[in-house]
Amino acid sequence: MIETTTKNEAAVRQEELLGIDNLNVSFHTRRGVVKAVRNLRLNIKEGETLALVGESGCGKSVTAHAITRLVPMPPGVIESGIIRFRGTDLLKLPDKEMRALRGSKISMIFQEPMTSLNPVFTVGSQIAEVFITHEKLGKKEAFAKAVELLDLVKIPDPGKRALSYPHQLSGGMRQRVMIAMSLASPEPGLMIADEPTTALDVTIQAQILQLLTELKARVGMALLLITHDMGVVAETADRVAVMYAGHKVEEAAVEELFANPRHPYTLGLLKCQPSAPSNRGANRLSSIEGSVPDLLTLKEGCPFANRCENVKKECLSSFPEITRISENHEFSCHNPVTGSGDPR
Amino acid sequence: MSKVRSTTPLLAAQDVHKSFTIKDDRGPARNLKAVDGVSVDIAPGEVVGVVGESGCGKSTLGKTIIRMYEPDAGKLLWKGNDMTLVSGTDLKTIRKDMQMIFQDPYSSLNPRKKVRDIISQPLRIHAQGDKEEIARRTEEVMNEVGINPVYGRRYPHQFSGGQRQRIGIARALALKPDFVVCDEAVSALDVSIQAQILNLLLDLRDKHGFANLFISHDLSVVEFISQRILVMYLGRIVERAPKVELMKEPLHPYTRALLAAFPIADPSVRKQKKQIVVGDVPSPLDPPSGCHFHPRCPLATDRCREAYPPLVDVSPGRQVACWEVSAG
Amino acid sequence: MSNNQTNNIIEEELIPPAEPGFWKESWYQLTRNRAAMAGLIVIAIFALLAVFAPLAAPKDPLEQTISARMTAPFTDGYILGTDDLGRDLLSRIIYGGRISLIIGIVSVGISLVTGTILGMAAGYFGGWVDRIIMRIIDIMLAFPYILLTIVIVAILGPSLMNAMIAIGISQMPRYARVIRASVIAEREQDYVLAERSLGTNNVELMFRTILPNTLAPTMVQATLGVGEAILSSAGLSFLGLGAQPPTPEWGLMIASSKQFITSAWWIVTLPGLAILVTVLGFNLLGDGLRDILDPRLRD
Repeated sequence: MIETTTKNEAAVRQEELLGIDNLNVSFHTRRGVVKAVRNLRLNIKEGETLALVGESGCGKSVTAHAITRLVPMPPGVIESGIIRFRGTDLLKLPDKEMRALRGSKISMIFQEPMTSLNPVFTVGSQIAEVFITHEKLGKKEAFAKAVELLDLVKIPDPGKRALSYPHQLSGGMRQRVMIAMSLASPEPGLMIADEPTTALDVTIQAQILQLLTELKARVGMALLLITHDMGVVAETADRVAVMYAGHKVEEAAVEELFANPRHPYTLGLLKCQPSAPSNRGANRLSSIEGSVPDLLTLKEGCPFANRCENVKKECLSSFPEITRISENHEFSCHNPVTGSGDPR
Repeated sequence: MSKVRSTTPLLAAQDVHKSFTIKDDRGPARNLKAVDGVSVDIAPGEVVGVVGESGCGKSTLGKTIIRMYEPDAGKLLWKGNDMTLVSGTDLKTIRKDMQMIFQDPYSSLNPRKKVRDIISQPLRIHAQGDKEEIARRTEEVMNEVGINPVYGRRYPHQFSGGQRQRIGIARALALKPDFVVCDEAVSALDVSIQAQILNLLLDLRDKHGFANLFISHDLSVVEFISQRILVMYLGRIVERAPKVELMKEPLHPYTRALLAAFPIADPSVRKQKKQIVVGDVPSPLDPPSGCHFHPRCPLATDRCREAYPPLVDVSPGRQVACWEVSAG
Repeated sequence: MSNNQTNNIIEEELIPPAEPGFWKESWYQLTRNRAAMAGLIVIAIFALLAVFAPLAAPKDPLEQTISARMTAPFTDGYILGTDDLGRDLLSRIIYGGRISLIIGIVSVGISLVTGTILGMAAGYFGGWVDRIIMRIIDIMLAFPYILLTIVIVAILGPSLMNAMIAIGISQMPRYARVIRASVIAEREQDYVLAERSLGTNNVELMFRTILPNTLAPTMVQATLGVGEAILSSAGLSFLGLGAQPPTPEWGLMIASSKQFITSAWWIVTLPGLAILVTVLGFNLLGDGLRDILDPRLRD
C-alpha cells in the first residue's frame, strides 16, 4: 500500500551527454523580435538529473524544444549555437536522422499528455508503434513489449490497460504512458520532461517523480527536468540551472544552490516560496517586487535590474560575465549576494 | 458535533450537499456528488483554508457557500439567519457582503469591459452612491491593490497576470465585504508574483478585517495564510484543525499522505525516507464504498470498506473522520 | 513593500501597453489577407456607389428612350449600353446596387436581431427553453432554404419588401445557432459567474456581459449573410416573387431579359456580373474574417 523511496544513489557519470554552447533562439513576431534564449551554455552529464528552473518567459521550454528541434520555424529562428549530443551537433543534423534520434535516444514528455497522445489509438498500440518503427519488431512482439513497459511504469493490470484509449485514463496514468513511450528505446540517453507534473495532483506528482528517479537509475538515462517548482527541484535534481528572461543566471549542484545562492534572483526565488524556512512563522512572505519584463522591449543590461535589490549602475548597461566560484557553481551578476550563509 | 463559540459565526454552513448531473452522449446521466455533507463555521475576520486534490469539491464548496451555486440540501446561516430561504432583493443585499476572487486571471475579467467598469460594477449594481462617489470609491480601491487609477480605462488584456489578479481583488473589495472566498486565487501565478499577491491579501485583511475562505491545492500556500485548515477528499471533510497542530501532527492518513507528497524546497532532507501513497485519486463520479480513502489507505480495515466514518472531535478544535484514528 | 513602491513599478510596466487591442490586432491581420482586402475594396466601391447613386448614375434608371433601345456598350455615350426599353444599363446597375445594399442590411438585420434573441435565450437559459427554441430552429433548417423563402413570399405576396422579410426569416436559424454556441461557451466563464454573483440581473448579463463577447463569429456569419441575401433576392426576383418591374433589381433585370442572351448579351450578362462580383466580395471578406477571428479565439 505504501512505498518507500530513498535518494537515487546511482553514480552520475562524468562524460558529457549533451552540451549546449552559445545558443540563441529568437522569435520574429510582427511586433518585434523576442529573444527567448540568449547565449546559453549548458551541459548535462550521462545519467544525471539537471533541473532547468525559472518562471514564465524565462526560456526554459524553448531550450527544451530547441534540443529536440521542435521549435516552430517560422517564427522561431535559431540565431546561433551548437547542441552536442554525444559529440554530434543536433542543429546540423539532417531531418531524417533527427527524427530517428527523437523518440529513441532523446525523448520528451510534456505537461499535458492528452495532447501528445493520439486519442483514436489505444495506448498499447501507440507504445508498440515505437518498437515497430525504431526496432522493426512485429506487431505482436511490439505489443507484448508495450505491456512490459506499462508494467515497468507501475500501471496496474497492464495487459488490460494497454487496450484502453487515452481519454479513459487519468492524468497520472497518461503521464506514465508517456514515460513508458520514452523508455521504449533500448538505450535511451536523455529524457526531457517539460513540467511533467504541473497539471497533476500532488500525491500523483510524488508518484511520478519517484518513478522517474527509479527508472533513471535502472535504465541509466539522464533527465532534463524543466519546472518552476523549487520543491520538485530540491527533491529530484543533481544540478540546477536558473533562467530569467532568456538568460541563465546561475548554475550549481543542488545542495550548493539552496545553501549558497549568489544571484539575487535565485535568492529571491528561494525565499518567496511559502514553504521556505525564512517564511516560517512570518507575517508576510519575502517577495520580489515587480514582474517579469516584456521580452519585446528588453533593453541592454541585466533583465533583472528593475526588480533587483542589489542593482548597480552597470547592471543597466551590460549583462554580466559568468563568474565561477567552484567547479560546480557559476553565476552571472555584477553585484552578487554575499555568501553570508544559508538563507534557509 | 459540538462547537462552543463565544460569538455567532459570520457564516455557518450546516450539512451542505451539492450534486451535478453529468450528461454526455455516451451513457445515462450520472450523478456527481461534489459536496457531500460539509459543515463549517467561519468566525468574523477568520481565515479558514481548504486544501485537497482534484475532485475533492473544495471549489464547489466555495461557490455553494456564497450561493453562487444553489445547495441541494443543508443550511447556510449568514449572521445567524438562514440564507437558503432568502431570495430576490434580500439575497442581493446579503450578496453585497460576500465576494469571490477567482483562479484564472484571464477568464475572470470580462475582456470587453474597461477595468474601471469591471471594478465599479458591484458599486453600480448595489447603488452605492452617485456617479462621483462611485468613481471615487473605484479609485480608492484601485490604489489599495496597487493599480494606478489612471489605467482604469484600459482593458484586461493589457495587464499582466498578477495585475489582473489585483483587479479581481479590487472588484471583490469594492463593496467592503465581510467575507471573501479565494478560489485558487494565486494558483495560476508565477511564484514571485504569488508571494506579492498573498502579501497583498494579508495587508488588505489586516486593514479591513474580512473573513476569508482560502481554497487551494497548494498546501504550502494554505499553510502560510490560514488560521484553521480543512482537508477535503471526494466531497467530505476528512480532517479539521488549527494550522499549527495540523502541520505538526496530521492525524488522518490522507492528510499524512498529502504532507508527505508535498515537495520540500530543501535538498538536505532528501535522504530521509518518504512514504508515498499509491493509487490514483478516484473520480467523484464513482467514489469507493465506505470511507472514500480506503483503497489507498495503509490502515484500511473491513469497517473502513463498509461504512463512512463520521467527523469526530479528538481535541478542542480538531476533528478527524477515520475509524482507526478515532478508535485509537 | 509599500503601496507607493508597487504603484511606481506597476506604472512603469504599463507604459507602453504590451499588446494592441483586439480590434486593432484584427484589422492588422485583415490587411495581411489579400483576398479579404480585395473583398473589402469591392464592398467599399459597391457601398459608395449605392449610397451616392443619384450622383454616380449618369441617367435616370427608369427613363425609357425607345429610340436608343438595345444599344451596345460603349456606343452613343451609353457606357454599358441600354436594355430593351432604352434604359441606361449603367444607371440601372448602380441603382440596383443600392437596392441590393438595402436588401442586405434589412434581411441580415431581421435575421440578426431575431436570431440573437432566440439564440441568446436558448443558450443562456438552457433546459426546456433551449429545447423548444432548438426544435423550431431544427424544423426551419429542415426545409430547403429556397423553398422556405418561396413559401413565405407566397404567403405575404410578391414584393421586394416581402422578399427581404422572407430571406431574413429563413436565415435566422443560422444566427441563432451561432449565437447559442457562443453563449454556451461564455456562460460558464469565470467573469460571467463573477458578474452574476455580484447581483447583475439576467437581461444585463445576457446583453451587456455575454453578448459583446460573442461578436466574432456573428460578424463572420453576417458578412457572408449579406452575400447570400443578395443572391437569394436575385433568385426570388428571377422567379417573379421579389422585386417587381420596373425596379432595377439585378435578379429581375436578368429575368426580364433572358430572351436577349444571344442578340443583346449585355442586358443579361452585366447584371449577372454585378451579382457575381458583389457576392464574391462579401464571401472573400467573410472568409478572411473567419480566418482571423476563429484561431484567435482559440488563444
